[in-house]
Amino acid sequence: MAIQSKQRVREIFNEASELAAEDRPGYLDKACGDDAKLRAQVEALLNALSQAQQAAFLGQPSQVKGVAGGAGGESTLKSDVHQTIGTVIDRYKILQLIGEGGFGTVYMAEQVKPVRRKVALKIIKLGMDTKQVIARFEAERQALAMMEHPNIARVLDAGETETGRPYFVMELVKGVPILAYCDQNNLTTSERLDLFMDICLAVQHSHQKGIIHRDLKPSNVMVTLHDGRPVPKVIDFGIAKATQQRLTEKTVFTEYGQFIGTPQYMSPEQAEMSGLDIDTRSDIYSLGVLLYELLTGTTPFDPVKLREAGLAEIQRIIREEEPHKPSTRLSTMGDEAMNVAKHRRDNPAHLARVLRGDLDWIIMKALEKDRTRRYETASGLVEDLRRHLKSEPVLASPPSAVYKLRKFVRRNRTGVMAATVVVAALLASTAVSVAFAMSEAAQRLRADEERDIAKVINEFLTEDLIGAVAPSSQRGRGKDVRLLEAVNEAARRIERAGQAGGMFADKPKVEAAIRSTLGNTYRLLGEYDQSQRHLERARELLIKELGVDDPETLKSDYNLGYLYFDLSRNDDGVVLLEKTLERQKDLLGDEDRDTLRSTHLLALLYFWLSRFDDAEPLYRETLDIQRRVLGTADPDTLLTMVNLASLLYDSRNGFAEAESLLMEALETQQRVRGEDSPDTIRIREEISWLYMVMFRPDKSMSWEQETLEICLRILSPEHPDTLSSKYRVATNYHAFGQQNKAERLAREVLEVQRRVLPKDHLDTAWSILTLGWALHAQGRYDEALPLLKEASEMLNSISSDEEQWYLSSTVHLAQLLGDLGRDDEAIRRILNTMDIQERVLGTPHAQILFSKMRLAELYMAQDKHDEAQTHLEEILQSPIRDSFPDHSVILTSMRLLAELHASQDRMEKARVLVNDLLKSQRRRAERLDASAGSKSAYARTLLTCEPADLRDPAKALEMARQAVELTERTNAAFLKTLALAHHLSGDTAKAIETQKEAIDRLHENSAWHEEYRAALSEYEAALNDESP
Amino acid sequence: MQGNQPSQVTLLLEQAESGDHAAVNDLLPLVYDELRRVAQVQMSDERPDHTLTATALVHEAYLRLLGSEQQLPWANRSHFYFAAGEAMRRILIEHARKRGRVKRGGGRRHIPLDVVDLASTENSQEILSFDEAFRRLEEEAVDAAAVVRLRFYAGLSIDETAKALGVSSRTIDRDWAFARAWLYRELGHDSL
Repeated sequence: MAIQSKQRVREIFNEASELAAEDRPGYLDKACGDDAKLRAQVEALLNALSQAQQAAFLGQPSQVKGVAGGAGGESTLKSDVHQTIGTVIDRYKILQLIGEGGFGTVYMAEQVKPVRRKVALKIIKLGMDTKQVIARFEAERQALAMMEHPNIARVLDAGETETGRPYFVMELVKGVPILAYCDQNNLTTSERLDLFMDICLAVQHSHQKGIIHRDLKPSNVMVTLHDGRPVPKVIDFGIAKATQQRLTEKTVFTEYGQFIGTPQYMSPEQAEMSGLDIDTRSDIYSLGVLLYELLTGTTPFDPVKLREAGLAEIQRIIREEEPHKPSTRLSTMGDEAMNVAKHRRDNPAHLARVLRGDLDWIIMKALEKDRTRRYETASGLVEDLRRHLKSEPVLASPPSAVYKLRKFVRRNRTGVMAATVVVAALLASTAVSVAFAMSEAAQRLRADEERDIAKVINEFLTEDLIGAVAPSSQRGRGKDVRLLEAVNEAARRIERAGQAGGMFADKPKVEAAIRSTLGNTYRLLGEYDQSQRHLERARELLIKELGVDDPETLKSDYNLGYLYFDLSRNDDGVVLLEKTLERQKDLLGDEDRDTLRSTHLLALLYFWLSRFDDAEPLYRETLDIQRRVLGTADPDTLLTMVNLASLLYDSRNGFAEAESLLMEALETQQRVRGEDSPDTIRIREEISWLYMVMFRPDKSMSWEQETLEICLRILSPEHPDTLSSKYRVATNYHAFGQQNKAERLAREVLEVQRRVLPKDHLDTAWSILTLGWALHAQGRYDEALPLLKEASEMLNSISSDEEQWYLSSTVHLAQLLGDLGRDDEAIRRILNTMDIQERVLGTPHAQILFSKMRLAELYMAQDKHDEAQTHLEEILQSPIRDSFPDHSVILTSMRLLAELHASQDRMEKARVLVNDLLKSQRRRAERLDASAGSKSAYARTLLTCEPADLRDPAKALEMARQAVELTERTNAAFLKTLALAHHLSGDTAKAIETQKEAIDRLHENSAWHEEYRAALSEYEAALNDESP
Repeated sequence: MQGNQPSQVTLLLEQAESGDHAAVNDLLPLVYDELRRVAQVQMSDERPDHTLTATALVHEAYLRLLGSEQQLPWANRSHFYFAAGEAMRRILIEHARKRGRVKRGGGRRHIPLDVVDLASTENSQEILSFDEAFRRLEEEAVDAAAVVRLRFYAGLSIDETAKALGVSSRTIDRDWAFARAWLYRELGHDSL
């Protein structure tokens, strides 16, 4: 292109760029004449200009680090402000700077005429008076002028300075930003909600006027006091946009898509930056963030993380990442939660309970990524909050499974609550409720026989069953008579009664009813052979008497289905139940109690077949109908609540919803049946497992121990509930480092299970695993190996080789093989397992991270540093780390990677990791409820980390001592760490003494004797060097 | 960079003003070092909330090298800002190269370059492409490129740029609009 022509293009562009869009074609016609090429070049540039403005291309100075999208205000030098203060603009004298926005500066000013008052004067920034900015400024003024609301600052006046800079004058809001106000005054959650609802109404008003705020955040909501009452005021409609075109002709300029707003408060559609597609629901999202922060003290997304992220990453986070529910967030805050609660005159536990449920859901609904799922209007949000405050059901519902993580620990099979009205009552051993329950069952029989049967059953119960247990009875053997004996006695009676000439000889329906009850009772007592015999006999009698399509027959199908479930014959159960349910729905309808029981059982069977997508909707459907038809306190409703909860936390990561369901169930159960009722045991077990899965072993342990005490008090030692409770305490002891106690309990449980359970039962497999792990953790590798192999084979034969519990058992087995020096075999097994896991689970998944970590460990042992490093880095970059930053897999991986770097002389990399590791370990170890393991691990890092200048033997000594005391000086490994701490703190004599104690604690079969003795010799040698 | 430094910089600036272009080249390393130093200090300061815009960096470097800004007339200061803009440009390029994550092939990705953020690896390619386009602009329209240097790289406002270049704000507005449009087109963002 010729120089001259380039010059010409630029001249025409310059002129045209200053014209309004509609005037440009006319000007170009004139300036370019018939030079089509010239015109095309100019138009291309003009087009590029408007797009560049839209995209805010070069909209801000370059920057080195930090916030994308901070206000561009920094570019104004201080002199602008200093020059302005003291000057008089029309009737206003500028007094002081209040704040600066993207393009305007707000001053406090004094108005002299007609009244003397202080006002806020917003003036366009020096050097910012471009057309777009002026248009936006004008839009803000007009927007404000249209609104008249007690919670929105009013516009009083507008004008231009002598030099042509536009300004406008607002009511001066003498207040503090809302968060500061709430925290300074320690407002309670409900006081905060009151303020928040006022804000919503102000936003609603602006929306009705067709104005979207677009930058709602705490600093834009000031609280002032009117007659001592706090009044929030929404300010800074600086980037407000009219929803209707008529607000300004210059809309195009007000819409340019600069990355305005503050990332934490920005809706996903705002983060898109298309700039053209923002509506009132964007403000709803920002209100959601504001409420989140008001109630929890923190925004849904970590502001530090957002600040450090690049633009594209910020957009991705806002568009894709699911924030934690407020109550969950609170529970992950650690010590900070105490501070947050304090500012709400509350304690963390109670605050979490207040947030859990309604408030969680309301906030999450406002924060939906898809705006069509948010509240339609700000007043809709207010209404739901009001419903919550009045304890009415809220519109917001628990969000469906959105979490991408799946659970880490597979729950124990025996945990599924399996109670029925009849048998729950039987177990309680109260004569009245047994009789009542039995007659209730009898009501299902045909009306013409009802009285007859009821009489017979009553006789049977009083004479044969209850009579045997009741302490006052002549035959009674007092409290010591176990229920099983009573049932055995009753069963013997019924056999006789059913024979020719007996009590039931011509009453098959009565016999069937009694047998069903007995069968169910045997099932719950774990006497499966007996159970099956009675249930099948009952079914035969009913089919013969009533046919297959009778409600009573179908109910006997259901009983049999439950037995299949207890026997792990889940596929058989599904086949039976699907058929049964279909007939029941036809015969009895969806809302019949028996239909609902079958629906529930079918969901349970699906769950155990890992068919979660089939199970969840079935549970929810059942629960909805049960709540409506039976009420929440009904045992069936409670059962569904508990089982839905276990699905949610087990397979959906719906921890908060599960926790609230379980707490509701427990509270209801205790209210209806008393504190010590056996029905509460199952719920308690679920709660303790929930905490286990939530990585709160401390909470889990205390629930579990209390539950075991109740079991031992009211149930037999071989009762399935007692066993499962004992099993769980054993796993807790294992997790807490008390391996000898874990071993003892696991052996007790296993002894009974091997005797009473069918071969290859899941419960047995789990007990074997726990025992194996407890032995492994004591260095008793040779004893552990056959057990872990047996459990793994058992799990494989029970389930498919894609089942998580099988896969995680193989990973553990591989670790043991590695400890035994069989690295190649171990690596082969893990790689094989990971293959399956990646296929079944997809990545990322906590289970896979666990496998990777073990694999990396094995590679390190083989000096395959690159392989190890790749896996460890993958673990540490996984999104799971964001959700569980202090998880043991993450910490162990950090430790391994740091060791790897150090061994390769990459000390700076090691230093960074060790610093992070120490911070995380310290957080874990210094919690009030920290486990001994976390304290000892922290101590170990403090003693052995590289670079060595990060070590701190004094702190390590304190931690190691606590770990040893917490495990009652029984854990050899913790004692060994303590010995090292003594040694490195200079007290070698004490180190020797402690190391001897550690060796003393080692089991004779432990593989660690040599290693422990070597350390002892080292200390002894050091002591000899010291002494002359 | 202690006590004697400001006077040295002032001297260099005065020489530049008197038409000694070699002086501008002498000034550059001083400003460059100072900018990098400021940036490093700020980043290691554990203040995650600190936004290191070019404006703030250049401003601080100026204060460190020259003391109060008001001591020098704008015409002299413009040399400093020119040097600062150039230094900032080089720092950006250096960081982008160092990342070594320049993606080849696959066409340009359309990340709006409203903020060049060194903390983000996403922008490396953008920074390098942008710099190539900027050099072409310097050849094509040196006055518009000068505005970019001061506005974007040194972070000056329209007003300050006008003062530094000794022209009216309106002219800067126009040149800035032209430069943005030209660069935007050059980077192929307008292909829609």
